[in-house]
Amino acid sequence: MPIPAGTKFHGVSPSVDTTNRGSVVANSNRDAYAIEDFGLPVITVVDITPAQILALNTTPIELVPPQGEGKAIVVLSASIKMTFNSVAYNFDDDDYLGLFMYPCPTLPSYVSFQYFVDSIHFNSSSDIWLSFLRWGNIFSSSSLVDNGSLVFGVESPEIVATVGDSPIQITVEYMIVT
Amino acid sequence: MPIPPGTKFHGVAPGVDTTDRGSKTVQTLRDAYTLEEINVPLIASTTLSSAQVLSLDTTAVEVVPAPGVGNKVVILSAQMKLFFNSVPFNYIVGTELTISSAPFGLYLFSQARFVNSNLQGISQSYNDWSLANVGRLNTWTSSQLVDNGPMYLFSPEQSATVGDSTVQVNVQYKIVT
Repeated sequence: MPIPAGTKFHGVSPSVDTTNRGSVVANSNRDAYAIEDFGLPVITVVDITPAQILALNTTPIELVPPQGEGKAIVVLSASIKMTFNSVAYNFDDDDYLGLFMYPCPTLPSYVSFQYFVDSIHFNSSSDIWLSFLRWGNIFSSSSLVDNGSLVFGVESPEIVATVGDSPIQITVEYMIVT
Repeated sequence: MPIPPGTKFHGVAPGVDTTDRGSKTVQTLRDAYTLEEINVPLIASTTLSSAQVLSLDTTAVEVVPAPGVGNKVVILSAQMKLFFNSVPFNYIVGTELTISSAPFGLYLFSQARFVNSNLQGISQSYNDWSLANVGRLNTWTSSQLVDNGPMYLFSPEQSATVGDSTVQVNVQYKIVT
């Protein structure tokens, strides 16, 4: 539940039993909050298989599931790590992979990225670890989708690697907005 | 003071006197924290009437209140919700509705911009939800932080001349000193 403005907080040591002790004379005025209620950023780490990378042009990968009616997902930062196996991917240069809300309302014209990375980096034959870049599109803002998921996908269906066998891990820091 | 990891929180209504009542049996283990110490992003929500939207080129709308003397606002994220009514706004494609502490100035000192496109943004004829560009802004200057300055939404270009929808702008921000 949203935390009402002006609510006061008392913190106690983790070992203290706080059951029915938060406001001993006014329990009806006491509420317990989960850390999510504070609106702090949430971090998720998702492992992606080579097979998923090779199918990225048709099947975007869900990183954060839908958060419910009236809610959208805003990425605050993201990084991507590839652990090279034995066969490099063969993406073309200057194509973009990125994070966006799905289903994307601006498709098929364009993907409404929030953050992106150039696909050429994944053709490396050694480990890579990169920060995603904020899209900062000069032609449009990014679209938010009510109760949509956050996915990792390609800029257009033509962007595809046909070979490659390295796993990838994506870390996303995000917040939920209403 | 930093909040120790694992600290639990109970929230009580603003009107409750919490002095010496937080943990009655273990007072020495109790500390009081403010929301600012928990380092939570603050949120400001503003709903603009269609008349306000149509005059954004002449009258800026406050979307983050003044934070107090010695404090400055830093925007973390901003979103715009269009609640479409019946007549779309006719902002031209490429119009950038800007959030800044210095509206209409020589330098805009933008911290966030909503870019209107033909597929997304304030001129759509359906309910639209957009995420502002934060961080790709002024080519020649950084954004000036204004002591105790509110943040305003405005249009540095010509405004729309028709449209009857309401718009909600939500801003997540931090206070720096």
